[in-house]
Amino acid sequence: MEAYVAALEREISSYSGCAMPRGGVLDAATLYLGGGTPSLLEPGLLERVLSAAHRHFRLAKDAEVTLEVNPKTGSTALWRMARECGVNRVSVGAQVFDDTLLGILGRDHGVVDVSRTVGELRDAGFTDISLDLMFGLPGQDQASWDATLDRALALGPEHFSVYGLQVEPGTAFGVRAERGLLQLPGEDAERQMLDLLVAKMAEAGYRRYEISSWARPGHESAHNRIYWLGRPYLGFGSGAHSYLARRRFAHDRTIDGYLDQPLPAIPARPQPIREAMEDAVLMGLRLVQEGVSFAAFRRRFGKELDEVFGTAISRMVELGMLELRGDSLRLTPAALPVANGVFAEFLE
Amino acid sequence: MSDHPIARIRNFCIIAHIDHGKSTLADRLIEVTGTLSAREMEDQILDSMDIERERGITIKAQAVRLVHRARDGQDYVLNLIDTPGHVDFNYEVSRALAACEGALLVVDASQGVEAQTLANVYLALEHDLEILPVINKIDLPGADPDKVKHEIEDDIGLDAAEAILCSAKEGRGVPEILEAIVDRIPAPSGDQDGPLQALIFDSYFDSYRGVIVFIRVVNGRVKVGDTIKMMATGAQFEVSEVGVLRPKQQPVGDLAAGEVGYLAATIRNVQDARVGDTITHARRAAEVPLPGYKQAVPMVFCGLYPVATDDYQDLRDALEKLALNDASLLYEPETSVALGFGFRCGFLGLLHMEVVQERLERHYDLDLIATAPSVSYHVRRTDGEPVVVDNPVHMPPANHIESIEEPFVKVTILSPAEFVGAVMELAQSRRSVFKSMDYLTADRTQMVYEMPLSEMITDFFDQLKSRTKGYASMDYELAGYRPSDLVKLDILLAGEPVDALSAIVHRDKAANVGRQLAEKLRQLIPRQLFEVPIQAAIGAKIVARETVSAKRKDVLAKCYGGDITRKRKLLEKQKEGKKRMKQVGRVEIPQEAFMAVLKIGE
Repeated sequence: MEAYVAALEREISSYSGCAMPRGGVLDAATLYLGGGTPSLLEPGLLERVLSAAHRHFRLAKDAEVTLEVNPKTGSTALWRMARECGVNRVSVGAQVFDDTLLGILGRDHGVVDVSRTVGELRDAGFTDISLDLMFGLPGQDQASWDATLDRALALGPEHFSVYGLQVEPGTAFGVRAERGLLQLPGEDAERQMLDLLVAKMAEAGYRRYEISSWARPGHESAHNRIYWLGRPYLGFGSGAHSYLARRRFAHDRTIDGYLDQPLPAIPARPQPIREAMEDAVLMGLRLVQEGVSFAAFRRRFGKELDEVFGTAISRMVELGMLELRGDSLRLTPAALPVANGVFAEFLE
Repeated sequence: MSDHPIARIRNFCIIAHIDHGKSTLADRLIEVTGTLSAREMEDQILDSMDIERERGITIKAQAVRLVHRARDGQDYVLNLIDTPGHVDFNYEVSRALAACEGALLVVDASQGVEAQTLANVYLALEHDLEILPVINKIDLPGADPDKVKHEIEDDIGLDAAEAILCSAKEGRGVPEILEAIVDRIPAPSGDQDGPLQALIFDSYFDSYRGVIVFIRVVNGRVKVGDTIKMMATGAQFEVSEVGVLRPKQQPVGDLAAGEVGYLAATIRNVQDARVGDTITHARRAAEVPLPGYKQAVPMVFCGLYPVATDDYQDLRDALEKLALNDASLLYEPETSVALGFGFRCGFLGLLHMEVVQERLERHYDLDLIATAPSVSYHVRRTDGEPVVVDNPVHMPPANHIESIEEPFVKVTILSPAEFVGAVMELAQSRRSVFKSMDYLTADRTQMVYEMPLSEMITDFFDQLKSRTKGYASMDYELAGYRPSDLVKLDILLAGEPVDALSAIVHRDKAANVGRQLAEKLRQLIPRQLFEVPIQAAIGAKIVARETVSAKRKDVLAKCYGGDITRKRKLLEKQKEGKKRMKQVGRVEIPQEAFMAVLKIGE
């Protein structure tokens, strides 16, 4: 663990001082400690990582600094240290309030751990708590999902990230699904869960600002917005991804691989401009309120949005999946549950 | 050839049902006579095309020349001519048989005689072949040679007393078979000095030497430098090579009456060397061709379209190349409103169609949409003009039709007696006319029906197999055109007619087929971003309606920094899937939907 933190420190430091043009320090708008389980860190190690970030990047005073928390890990000491080091937001991987389903997901925490952790975090003074929830799980039914939503809302977090389970080939679920061993709820049941989610969130006063994110006004995630707007970001540590100078690059997923090769290979060429434009639409449309701004697209690429994607836009507008509102292109409410079908239209 | 006088030549073929061990026996004969070494025998020689091998069938005839030292101490030339093993290729079978004086009838010791075996035996008898029954696979636990002997005597009427018991796999009985070929199959007769008459029983295209023609010389002799004439087409060529098949081609000086071999004569097109035609000399031509030549007539038609319109030229090139080798494959350009530019193709039968499609997709890497197979209808318009319609789209409007005739086939079915009820039920559901039923033995029946070819090509064979647990077998032959009360069934997707989904069906069944077709399409067409109504219509009348409901949920995976690439890949896959579908109007239709009419009832 210590070796890993030391490697992280070295990597973070490589982005400042003499390594950078003009010996400068980069500005950073947000900081996010996530990926694996940063809450496994000893308070002292957490402090080292955060202070390295502050030393080598210029972070604004009120910058959003998030710590991802696994409800089974961490301690009041860690929460206290996090607060002292400037962490002002936590994201708790609750997933579901159903111990059987948590077992199926292979999570090591139980329902009680979530409530306890949220309580501790509140006691430590956090006023920006986000919960991760999942639906469309094998064996999950409407009643169980309904109960999860009620219990999650009762904890009163400021923010929710909610995903439908995506079974991908090669994963443990993927293998079981291929063999027909996975009892997934199915498309219609998932839609019902989604509808319930949307209704309950609205009723409780949360605003859906992104396809899978709900927040009380003013508590939207500034960090995730960077991804959705296609702005540059740097990732440090095993499996971390970066997007800089229109290049996407990533570290080895294993810790050993990272320790072996602490600096990622940066591609020589930037991503093709067409791909960058497609990403701008795919990601930008996820921001369901803002949509993709014609002006921002023009500024970034020097081209008109409808000049590049005219066919896809007009086809989707005709089907009632997209709408033009002022300067922006947005998904319509009808498109929200089936947005992948809309996104795919924009790929060449 | 001079060292083998005509008296020491034997020309024979092997008749067998699929899986009864024809290829294994052929291999053994090649091996035992030392024609090829064991190492060269690694693979089965005669079935050399991969698709054929996978399906265990032979499509193209091949030949091999064996030299066997018999018990009398003399060397005999034994020419084994392989025959195609499927009813679609009956005509090719008949030409291969015409090149022989005898046939080995191979029957599986546990399976017994099957309809197809029977059909080929009758063909062989028509050609006056000496038939030697061979009971194969006697090594298998279920073998019952005595029962099979009875079947051969009762079903076919052949004397099975001298049937040879054999296990081609283990090599048992093979020497006895070789001796029997020498002893019991007559030597060819023919006038080696008379005018040339050579029967073409197969051909293929070679890019260096032109068409290679497989021949049986019946009279006269042919050598390099001769100017030859194809008697059916009149085309003339100069012979550049003659040879025998060991089974590799081995050039020889000449081929004389009685011999089997090949010749090359810079023939550019298989159409000029048609199976069944007679080769003679341009000078001193034979007065008449050998009997039995027919031009292959396609029975089954379908449209073949590239999924990506850019592939049209590639499809054209691929069809051209396939047709070089396949004189019975016909194709001509056609246009579909729904599918764009493609080809109407004619085939000998369903298997021929499947094989051609597979070859196009596998060897030429083409993504194809095939429309449901159709037959050729003879339509008389009200103005008296006759029209031939092999694509439902071209059926004239109902009020312009005086009458329609459709092709019928005579279907012979062999089945264990316990399945008679099931077979009859199936046949009746296919508008068939019962002709006869005979008990060949107490528990084996032969049923003969006449039914529209269009009913037979829609999975009749598969249904027959599944309803008889695989025990029944069948054979068919064309029985002529007959008037039928037929209508055109149209399919509308999202309100738009899709021409490539139209079908010609019997009026009494039309509404029912329409309902089932709409239902099947609902299962095959994936959910889209909008609702897709499916309608089946006869003229202006809607007979069925189904709906593919709109996609309900397809979103909400998280998407942060590290997910973007992965997420993109998923979307690209989704897009790829869409590319394999054909967009007709607003609706994306998968390839298999165009064959939906074949899948009704599944």
